[in-house]
Amino acid sequence: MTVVDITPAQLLLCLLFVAVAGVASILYKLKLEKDLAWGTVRTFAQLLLMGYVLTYIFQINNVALILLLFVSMVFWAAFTIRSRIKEKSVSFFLPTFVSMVISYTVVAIVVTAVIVQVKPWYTPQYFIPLGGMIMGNSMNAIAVALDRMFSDMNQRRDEIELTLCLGATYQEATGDIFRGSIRAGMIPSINALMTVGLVSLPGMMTGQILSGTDPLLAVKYQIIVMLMLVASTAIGSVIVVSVVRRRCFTRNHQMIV
Amino acid sequence: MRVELNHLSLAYGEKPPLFTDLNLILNDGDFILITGPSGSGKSSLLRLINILHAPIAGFIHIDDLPIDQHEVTRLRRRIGYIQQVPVMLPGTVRENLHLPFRFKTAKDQSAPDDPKMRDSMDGFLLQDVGLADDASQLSVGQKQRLSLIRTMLTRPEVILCDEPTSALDPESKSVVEEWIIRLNTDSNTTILMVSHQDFTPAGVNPQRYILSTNGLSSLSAT
Repeated sequence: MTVVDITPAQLLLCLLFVAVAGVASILYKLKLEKDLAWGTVRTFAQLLLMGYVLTYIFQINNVALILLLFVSMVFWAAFTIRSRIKEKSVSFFLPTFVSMVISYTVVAIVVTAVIVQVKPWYTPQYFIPLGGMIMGNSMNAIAVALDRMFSDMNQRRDEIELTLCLGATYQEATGDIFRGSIRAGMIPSINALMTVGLVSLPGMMTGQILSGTDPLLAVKYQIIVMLMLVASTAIGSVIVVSVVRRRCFTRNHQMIV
Repeated sequence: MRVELNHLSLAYGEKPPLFTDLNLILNDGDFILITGPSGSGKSSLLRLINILHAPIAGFIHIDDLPIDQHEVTRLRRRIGYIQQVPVMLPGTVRENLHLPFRFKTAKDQSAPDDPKMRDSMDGFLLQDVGLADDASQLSVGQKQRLSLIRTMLTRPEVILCDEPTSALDPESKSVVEEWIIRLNTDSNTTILMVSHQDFTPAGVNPQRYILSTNGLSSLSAT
Protein backbone atom coordinates (compact mmCIF):
# COMPACT_ATOMS: atom_id res chain seq x y z
CA MET A 1 0.00 0.00 0.00
CA THR A 2 1.43 3.36 -1.02
CA VAL A 3 0.99 6.54 0.99
CA VAL A 4 -0.65 9.47 -0.79
CA ASP A 5 1.83 12.35 -0.87
CA ILE A 6 0.79 15.83 0.22
CA THR A 7 1.95 18.71 -1.96
CA PRO A 8 2.71 22.16 -0.48
CA ALA A 9 -0.45 23.47 -2.14
CA GLN A 10 -2.54 20.79 -0.45
CA LEU A 11 -0.89 21.60 2.86
CA LEU A 12 -1.75 25.27 2.47
CA LEU A 13 -5.38 24.30 1.93
CA CYS A 14 -5.41 23.41 5.64
CA LEU A 15 -5.28 27.12 6.36
CA LEU A 16 -8.99 27.11 5.53
CA PHE A 17 -9.58 25.35 8.86
CA VAL A 18 -7.79 28.12 10.74
CA ALA A 19 -9.67 30.70 8.70
CA VAL A 20 -12.97 29.17 9.86
CA ALA A 21 -11.81 29.42 13.48
CA GLY A 22 -10.62 33.01 12.84
CA VAL A 23 -14.02 34.02 11.40
CA ALA A 24 -15.75 32.52 14.45
CA SER A 25 -13.38 34.48 16.68
CA ILE A 26 -14.19 37.75 14.89
CA LEU A 27 -17.95 37.12 14.80
CA TYR A 28 -18.17 36.24 18.47
CA LYS A 29 -15.47 38.71 19.64
CA LEU A 30 -13.37 35.93 21.17
CA LYS A 31 -10.17 37.93 20.58
CA LEU A 32 -8.34 34.77 19.55
CA GLU A 33 -7.29 35.91 16.07
CA LYS A 34 -3.73 36.80 17.04
CA ASP A 35 -3.25 33.56 18.99
CA LEU A 36 -4.67 31.53 16.11
CA ALA A 37 -2.36 33.21 13.60
CA TRP A 38 0.72 32.89 15.80
CA GLY A 39 -0.16 29.29 16.71
CA THR A 40 -0.52 28.39 13.03
CA VAL A 41 2.83 29.93 12.13
CA ARG A 42 4.49 28.12 15.02
CA THR A 43 2.88 24.80 14.07
CA PHE A 44 4.23 25.05 10.53
CA ALA A 45 7.65 26.26 11.64
CA GLN A 46 8.18 23.90 14.58
CA LEU A 47 6.97 20.77 12.79
CA LEU A 48 8.85 21.50 9.56
CA LEU A 49 11.99 22.18 11.60
CA MET A 50 11.48 18.92 13.50
CA GLY A 51 10.94 17.13 10.16
CA TYR A 52 14.31 18.32 8.89
CA VAL A 53 16.02 17.58 12.21
CA LEU A 54 14.57 14.07 12.28
CA THR A 55 15.60 13.42 8.67
CA TYR A 56 19.14 14.48 9.57
CA ILE A 57 19.23 12.49 12.79
CA PHE A 58 17.82 9.37 11.13
CA GLN A 59 20.64 9.55 8.61
CA ILE A 60 23.42 10.17 11.14
CA ASN A 61 22.04 7.73 13.79
CA ASN A 62 24.45 9.05 16.42
CA VAL A 63 23.53 8.27 20.06
CA ALA A 64 24.90 11.56 21.41
CA LEU A 65 22.91 13.62 18.91
CA ILE A 66 19.75 11.60 19.56
CA LEU A 67 20.06 12.10 23.31
CA LEU A 68 20.81 15.80 22.79
CA LEU A 69 17.59 16.18 20.81
CA PHE A 70 15.72 14.22 23.49
CA VAL A 71 17.07 16.42 26.30
CA SER A 72 16.34 19.61 24.38
CA MET A 73 12.73 18.45 23.94
CA VAL A 74 12.53 17.89 27.71
CA PHE A 75 13.98 21.37 28.24
CA TRP A 76 11.15 22.93 26.25
CA ALA A 77 8.60 20.81 28.08
CA ALA A 78 9.96 22.01 31.45
CA PHE A 79 10.06 25.59 30.15
CA THR A 80 6.42 25.32 29.05
CA ILE A 81 5.44 24.02 32.48
CA ARG A 82 7.19 26.92 34.18
CA SER A 83 5.47 29.48 31.98
CA ARG A 84 2.06 27.95 32.70
CA ILE A 85 2.41 28.12 36.49
CA LYS A 86 1.62 31.49 38.08
CA GLU A 87 3.51 30.82 41.33
CA LYS A 88 6.91 32.51 41.09
CA SER A 89 8.09 32.58 44.72
CA VAL A 90 9.74 29.16 44.42
CA SER A 91 12.20 28.40 41.63
CA PHE A 92 11.22 25.04 40.27
CA PHE A 93 12.47 25.02 36.67
CA LEU A 94 15.77 23.22 37.29
CA PRO A 95 14.42 20.45 39.57
CA THR A 96 11.51 19.95 37.17
CA PHE A 97 13.85 19.68 34.19
CA VAL A 98 16.27 17.29 35.90
CA SER A 99 13.47 15.08 37.25
CA MET A 100 11.83 14.95 33.82
CA VAL A 101 15.09 14.05 32.04
CA ILE A 102 15.71 11.16 34.43
CA SER A 103 12.20 9.73 34.50
CA TYR A 104 11.49 10.09 30.76
CA THR A 105 14.84 8.66 29.73
CA VAL A 106 14.26 5.59 31.90
CA VAL A 107 10.72 5.04 30.56
CA ALA A 108 11.74 5.62 26.93
CA ILE A 109 14.68 3.19 27.21
CA VAL A 110 12.48 0.53 28.85
CA VAL A 111 9.97 0.83 26.01
CA THR A 112 12.49 0.67 23.17
CA ALA A 113 14.96 -1.83 24.68
CA VAL A 114 12.73 -4.15 26.72
CA ILE A 115 9.22 -4.02 25.23
CA VAL A 116 9.64 -3.21 21.52
CA GLN A 117 13.20 -4.64 21.59
CA VAL A 118 14.64 -2.31 18.99
CA LYS A 119 18.34 -2.78 18.35
CA PRO A 120 20.04 -0.51 19.20
CA TRP A 121 17.69 0.97 21.84
CA TYR A 122 18.34 4.52 20.68
CA THR A 123 17.19 3.91 17.09
CA PRO A 124 15.81 7.42 16.45
CA GLN A 125 12.79 6.25 14.45
CA TYR A 126 11.47 4.75 17.72
CA PHE A 127 13.23 6.60 20.52
CA ILE A 128 12.37 10.17 19.47
CA PRO A 129 8.65 9.79 18.60
CA LEU A 130 8.00 7.65 21.67
CA GLY A 131 9.92 10.11 23.84
CA GLY A 132 7.95 12.99 22.32
CA MET A 133 4.67 11.34 23.21
CA ILE A 134 5.87 10.70 26.76
CA MET A 135 6.83 14.35 27.15
CA GLY A 136 3.69 15.80 25.60
CA ASN A 137 1.36 13.87 27.88
CA SER A 138 3.48 14.01 30.99
CA MET A 139 4.10 17.73 30.56
CA ASN A 140 0.37 18.39 30.78
CA ALA A 141 0.04 16.10 33.79
CA ILE A 142 2.92 17.78 35.63
CA ALA A 143 1.64 21.28 34.82
CA VAL A 144 -1.83 20.38 36.14
CA ALA A 145 -0.37 18.71 39.26
CA LEU A 146 1.97 21.62 40.09
CA ASP A 147 -0.72 24.21 39.49
CA ARG A 148 -3.08 22.31 41.77
CA MET A 149 -0.40 21.92 44.46
CA PHE A 150 0.49 25.64 44.53
CA SER A 151 -3.15 26.67 44.47
CA ASP A 152 -4.08 24.29 47.32
CA MET A 153 -1.07 25.36 49.37
CA ASN A 154 -2.14 28.98 49.12
CA GLN A 155 -5.79 28.26 49.86
CA ARG A 156 -5.06 25.88 52.73
CA ARG A 157 -2.15 27.78 54.26
CA ASP A 158 -3.86 27.99 57.68
CA GLU A 159 -4.41 24.23 57.79
CA ILE A 160 -0.82 23.53 56.79
CA GLU A 161 0.57 25.88 59.44
CA LEU A 162 -1.78 24.45 62.06
CA THR A 163 -0.51 20.92 61.45
CA LEU A 164 3.11 22.13 61.41
CA CYS A 165 2.47 23.79 64.79
CA LEU A 166 1.18 20.48 66.12
CA GLY A 167 4.45 18.76 65.23
CA ALA A 168 3.82 17.55 61.67
CA THR A 169 6.61 17.34 59.12
CA TYR A 170 6.04 19.24 55.89
CA GLN A 171 5.27 15.92 54.20
CA GLU A 172 2.57 15.17 56.77
CA ALA A 173 1.20 18.70 56.65
CA THR A 174 0.79 18.55 52.86
CA GLY A 175 0.00 14.85 52.41
CA ASP A 176 -3.59 15.42 51.24
CA ILE A 177 -2.52 18.22 48.92
CA PHE A 178 0.26 16.07 47.44
CA ARG A 179 -2.09 13.17 46.73
CA GLY A 180 -4.79 15.46 45.31
CA SER A 181 -2.25 17.10 42.98
CA ILE A 182 -0.93 13.79 41.61
CA ARG A 183 -4.48 12.52 41.11
CA ALA A 184 -5.46 15.70 39.27
CA GLY A 185 -2.48 15.26 36.93
CA MET A 186 -3.12 11.57 36.28
CA ILE A 187 -6.88 11.54 35.77
CA PRO A 188 -6.72 12.59 32.06
CA SER A 189 -4.34 9.67 31.28
CA ILE A 190 -6.59 7.23 33.12
CA ASN A 191 -9.69 8.61 31.38
CA ALA A 192 -7.90 8.12 28.07
CA LEU A 193 -7.46 4.41 28.92
CA MET A 194 -11.22 4.15 29.39
CA THR A 195 -12.25 5.85 26.15
CA VAL A 196 -9.53 4.85 23.69
CA GLY A 197 -10.95 2.88 20.78
CA LEU A 198 -14.52 3.75 21.78
CA VAL A 199 -14.47 7.52 21.58
CA SER A 200 -11.05 8.37 20.25
CA LEU A 201 -8.60 6.90 17.75
CA PRO A 202 -5.22 8.12 18.99
CA GLY A 203 -3.02 10.17 16.70
CA MET A 204 -0.14 7.73 16.59
CA MET A 205 -2.33 4.80 15.63
CA THR A 206 -4.13 6.89 13.04
CA GLY A 207 -0.78 8.01 11.64
CA GLN A 208 0.49 4.46 11.35
CA ILE A 209 -2.69 3.30 9.63
CA LEU A 210 -2.56 6.24 7.21
CA SER A 211 1.03 5.34 6.37
CA GLY A 212 0.01 1.78 5.48
CA THR A 213 0.72 -0.18 8.66
CA ASP A 214 -1.52 -3.16 9.41
CA PRO A 215 -4.21 -1.84 11.82
CA LEU A 216 -3.59 -4.71 14.28
CA LEU A 217 0.11 -3.87 14.48
CA ALA A 218 -0.81 -0.20 14.92
CA VAL A 219 -3.13 -1.23 17.75
CA LYS A 220 -0.34 -3.17 19.50
CA TYR A 221 1.91 -0.12 19.34
CA GLN A 222 -0.90 2.03 20.62
CA ILE A 223 -1.49 -0.23 23.63
CA ILE A 224 2.21 0.02 24.48
CA VAL A 225 2.04 3.79 24.12
CA MET A 226 -1.08 4.16 26.27
CA LEU A 227 0.38 2.14 29.13
CA MET A 228 3.74 3.84 28.74
CA LEU A 229 2.01 7.21 29.06
CA VAL A 230 0.28 6.21 32.28
CA ALA A 231 3.62 5.11 33.72
CA SER A 232 5.46 8.22 32.60
CA THR A 233 2.78 10.61 33.87
CA ALA A 234 2.76 8.79 37.23
CA ILE A 235 6.55 8.69 37.59
CA GLY A 236 7.04 12.22 36.26
CA SER A 237 4.29 13.75 38.41
CA VAL A 238 5.34 11.97 41.61
CA ILE A 239 9.01 12.89 41.23
CA VAL A 240 8.47 16.49 40.11
CA VAL A 241 5.73 17.28 42.65
CA SER A 242 7.83 15.71 45.45
CA VAL A 243 10.91 17.71 44.52
CA VAL A 244 9.02 21.00 44.07
CA ARG A 245 7.05 20.47 47.30
CA ARG A 246 10.37 20.10 49.13
CA ARG A 247 11.43 23.49 47.79
CA CYS A 248 8.31 25.10 49.22
CA PHE A 249 9.67 24.52 52.74
CA THR A 250 12.92 25.31 54.51
CA ARG A 251 14.83 22.61 56.34
CA ASN A 252 13.05 23.86 59.47
CA HIS A 253 9.71 22.97 57.86
CA GLN A 254 8.82 26.62 57.32
CA MET A 255 6.49 27.28 54.42
CA ILE A 256 7.97 29.80 51.99
CA VAL A 257 5.36 30.00 49.20
CA MET B 1 11.50 25.19 78.75
CA ARG B 2 13.59 28.34 78.54
CA VAL B 3 13.13 30.49 75.43
CA GLU B 4 15.57 33.28 74.79
CA LEU B 5 15.08 35.85 72.02
CA ASN B 6 18.21 37.85 71.30
CA HIS B 7 18.33 41.01 69.17
CA LEU B 8 15.57 39.80 66.84
CA SER B 9 14.60 41.86 63.82
CA LEU B 10 11.80 41.02 61.48
CA ALA B 11 10.83 42.36 58.06
CA TYR B 12 8.77 41.03 55.18
CA GLY B 13 10.39 41.43 51.79
CA GLU B 14 11.47 44.97 51.01
CA LYS B 15 9.18 46.55 53.59
CA PRO B 16 10.66 48.39 56.59
CA PRO B 17 11.25 46.17 59.64
CA LEU B 18 8.28 45.54 61.91
CA PHE B 19 10.65 45.57 64.85
CA THR B 20 14.37 45.51 65.52
CA ASP B 21 16.57 44.42 68.44
CA LEU B 22 13.83 42.57 70.30
CA ASN B 23 14.96 40.77 73.44
CA LEU B 24 12.89 38.55 75.71
CA ILE B 25 13.41 35.57 78.01
CA LEU B 26 10.65 33.12 78.88
CA ASN B 27 11.22 30.86 81.88
CA ASP B 28 9.07 27.99 83.14
CA GLY B 29 5.77 29.22 84.53
CA ASP B 30 6.06 32.80 83.25
CA PHE B 31 2.93 34.66 82.18
CA ILE B 32 3.92 37.33 79.69
CA LEU B 33 1.51 39.77 78.11
CA ILE B 34 2.58 41.80 75.08
CA THR B 35 0.39 44.59 73.80
CA GLY B 36 0.79 46.86 70.84
CA PRO B 37 -1.24 48.39 68.05
CA SER B 38 -2.52 46.35 65.13
CA GLY B 39 0.22 45.70 62.62
CA SER B 40 3.04 46.14 65.14
CA GLY B 41 4.21 42.56 64.62
CA LYS B 42 2.71 40.80 67.65
CA SER B 43 1.48 37.80 65.66
CA SER B 44 4.72 37.73 63.69
CA LEU B 45 6.66 37.53 66.95
CA LEU B 46 4.74 34.39 67.92
CA ARG B 47 5.39 32.93 64.46
CA LEU B 48 9.11 33.51 65.00
CA ILE B 49 9.05 31.66 68.31
CA ASN B 50 7.15 28.80 66.70
CA ILE B 51 9.72 28.77 63.86
CA LEU B 52 7.05 29.36 61.23
CA HIS B 53 9.07 32.32 60.05
CA ALA B 54 12.73 33.31 60.21
CA PRO B 55 14.05 36.65 61.56
CA ILE B 56 16.25 38.84 59.38
CA ALA B 57 18.63 39.28 62.31
CA GLY B 58 19.15 37.92 65.80
CA PHE B 59 18.76 34.41 67.13
CA ILE B 60 16.51 32.25 69.27
CA HIS B 61 17.84 29.84 71.87
CA ILE B 62 15.67 27.18 73.43
CA ASP B 63 16.99 25.45 76.51
CA ASP B 64 20.30 27.21 75.81
CA LEU B 65 20.62 25.70 72.33
CA PRO B 66 20.10 27.52 69.01
CA ILE B 67 16.88 26.34 67.36
CA ASP B 68 18.89 24.88 64.47
CA GLN B 69 20.26 22.32 66.91
CA HIS B 70 16.79 21.15 67.85
CA GLU B 71 14.55 18.85 65.87
CA VAL B 72 12.00 21.46 64.86
CA THR B 73 8.98 19.15 64.65
CA ARG B 74 9.55 17.96 68.23
CA LEU B 75 10.20 21.50 69.39
CA ARG B 76 6.93 22.76 67.92
CA ARG B 77 5.10 20.04 69.78
CA ARG B 78 6.44 21.42 73.05
CA ILE B 79 5.10 24.85 72.11
CA GLY B 80 1.31 25.19 71.79
CA TYR B 81 -0.09 27.88 69.52
CA ILE B 82 -3.58 29.33 69.87
CA GLN B 83 -4.43 31.47 66.87
CA GLN B 84 -6.74 34.47 66.79
CA VAL B 85 -9.06 32.70 64.35
CA PRO B 86 -9.23 29.01 65.23
CA VAL B 87 -8.55 26.56 62.39
CA MET B 88 -10.35 23.24 62.12
CA LEU B 89 -9.48 20.67 59.48
CA PRO B 90 -12.33 19.19 57.41
CA GLY B 91 -13.81 16.33 59.44
CA THR B 92 -15.44 15.60 62.77
CA VAL B 93 -14.67 17.02 66.18
CA ARG B 94 -13.10 13.67 67.10
CA GLU B 95 -10.82 13.73 64.04
CA ASN B 96 -9.73 17.26 64.89
CA LEU B 97 -8.91 16.35 68.48
CA HIS B 98 -6.98 13.29 67.24
CA LEU B 99 -5.05 15.37 64.71
CA PRO B 100 -1.92 15.94 66.86
CA PHE B 101 -1.58 12.18 67.35
CA ARG B 102 -1.41 11.33 63.64
CA PHE B 103 2.17 12.51 63.20
CA LYS B 104 5.51 10.72 63.57
CA THR B 105 6.44 13.01 66.45
CA ALA B 106 3.50 11.53 68.42
CA LYS B 107 4.34 7.87 67.88
CA ASP B 108 5.07 7.40 71.58
CA GLN B 109 1.76 9.04 72.59
CA SER B 110 -1.65 7.44 72.18
CA ALA B 111 -4.66 9.45 71.04
CA PRO B 112 -7.16 10.25 73.81
CA ASP B 113 -10.18 7.98 74.01
CA ASP B 114 -13.76 9.22 73.72
CA PRO B 115 -14.46 9.53 77.48
CA LYS B 116 -11.34 11.65 77.95
CA MET B 117 -12.24 13.94 75.05
CA ARG B 118 -15.84 14.16 76.28
CA ASP B 119 -14.62 15.08 79.74
CA SER B 120 -12.36 17.83 78.38
CA MET B 121 -15.16 19.21 76.23
CA ASP B 122 -17.57 19.28 79.14
CA GLY B 123 -14.97 21.22 81.15
CA PHE B 124 -15.04 23.84 78.39
CA LEU B 125 -18.87 24.01 78.46
CA LEU B 126 -19.17 22.17 75.14
CA GLN B 127 -21.81 19.70 76.37
CA ASP B 128 -23.99 20.33 73.32
CA VAL B 129 -21.19 19.49 70.86
CA GLY B 130 -20.83 15.83 69.84
CA LEU B 131 -17.57 14.09 68.96
CA ALA B 132 -19.08 13.04 65.62
CA ASP B 133 -20.25 16.56 64.74
CA ASP B 134 -18.79 18.30 61.71
CA ALA B 135 -16.14 20.64 63.15
CA SER B 136 -16.56 23.16 60.34
CA GLN B 137 -20.19 23.78 61.38
CA LEU B 138 -19.30 24.98 64.91
CA SER B 139 -19.32 28.63 66.00
CA VAL B 140 -16.02 30.53 66.28
CA GLY B 141 -16.28 30.38 70.08
CA GLN B 142 -16.78 26.61 70.05
CA LYS B 143 -13.91 26.17 67.59
CA GLN B 144 -11.60 28.27 69.78
CA ARG B 145 -12.45 26.16 72.83
CA LEU B 146 -11.79 22.97 70.81
CA SER B 147 -8.55 24.48 69.57
CA LEU B 148 -7.42 25.02 73.17
CA ILE B 149 -8.42 21.45 74.11
CA ARG B 150 -6.48 20.12 71.11
CA THR B 151 -3.42 22.07 72.19
CA MET B 152 -3.75 20.97 75.83
CA LEU B 153 -3.93 17.30 74.82
CA THR B 154 -0.32 17.51 73.58
CA ARG B 155 0.78 18.87 77.01
CA PRO B 156 2.94 21.75 75.71
CA GLU B 157 5.40 23.47 78.02
CA VAL B 158 4.75 26.89 76.49
CA ILE B 159 1.52 28.20 74.98
CA LEU B 160 1.60 31.12 72.56
CA CYS B 161 -1.76 32.91 72.48
CA ASP B 162 -2.51 35.26 69.61
CA GLU B 163 -5.45 37.38 70.79
CA PRO B 164 -7.31 34.16 71.49
CA THR B 165 -10.49 35.81 72.75
CA SER B 166 -10.81 38.79 70.41
CA ALA B 167 -13.37 37.12 68.14
CA LEU B 168 -15.32 35.31 70.86
CA ASP B 169 -18.72 35.72 72.48
CA PRO B 170 -18.68 36.59 76.23
CA GLU B 171 -19.25 32.97 77.37
CA SER B 172 -16.46 31.53 75.20
CA LYS B 173 -14.19 34.42 76.15
CA SER B 174 -14.48 33.79 79.89
CA VAL B 175 -14.03 30.00 79.47
CA VAL B 176 -10.92 30.38 77.33
CA GLU B 177 -9.37 33.02 79.61
CA GLU B 178 -10.10 30.96 82.70
CA TRP B 179 -8.41 27.88 81.19
CA ILE B 180 -5.36 29.80 80.03
CA ILE B 181 -4.91 31.15 83.54
CA ARG B 182 -5.49 27.69 85.03
CA LEU B 183 -2.84 26.17 82.75
CA ASN B 184 -0.36 28.69 84.07
CA THR B 185 -1.24 28.49 87.74
CA ASP B 186 -2.04 24.76 88.02
CA SER B 187 0.33 23.20 85.49
CA ASN B 188 3.13 25.80 85.50
CA THR B 189 2.72 26.16 81.72
CA THR B 190 4.47 29.23 80.35
CA ILE B 191 2.01 31.60 78.68
CA LEU B 192 2.97 34.25 76.15
CA MET B 193 -0.09 36.20 75.11
CA VAL B 194 -0.23 39.03 72.59
CA SER B 195 -3.17 41.37 72.41
CA HIS B 196 -4.02 44.86 71.22
CA GLN B 197 -6.12 45.25 74.38
CA ASP B 198 -5.02 45.14 77.97
CA PHE B 199 -5.89 41.96 79.82
CA THR B 200 -5.84 41.36 83.56
CA PRO B 201 -5.75 37.67 84.33
CA ALA B 202 -7.31 36.94 87.70
CA GLY B 203 -4.86 35.62 90.28
CA VAL B 204 -1.80 36.14 88.06
CA ASN B 205 0.63 39.03 87.90
CA PRO B 206 1.84 38.91 84.29
CA GLN B 207 5.00 40.53 83.00
CA ARG B 208 3.72 43.27 80.69
CA TYR B 209 5.49 44.58 77.62
CA ILE B 210 4.59 46.88 74.76
CA LEU B 211 5.86 46.11 71.27
CA SER B 212 7.09 48.87 68.98
CA THR B 213 9.53 49.12 66.09
CA ASN B 214 12.35 49.36 68.65
CA GLY B 215 11.45 46.03 70.23
CA LEU B 216 9.86 45.39 73.61
CA SER B 217 9.54 47.88 76.48
CA SER B 218 8.60 46.61 79.91
CA LEU B 219 5.41 47.99 81.42
CA SER B 220 5.64 45.98 84.64
CA ALA B 221 6.24 47.77 87.93
CA THR B 222 9.79 47.10 89.08
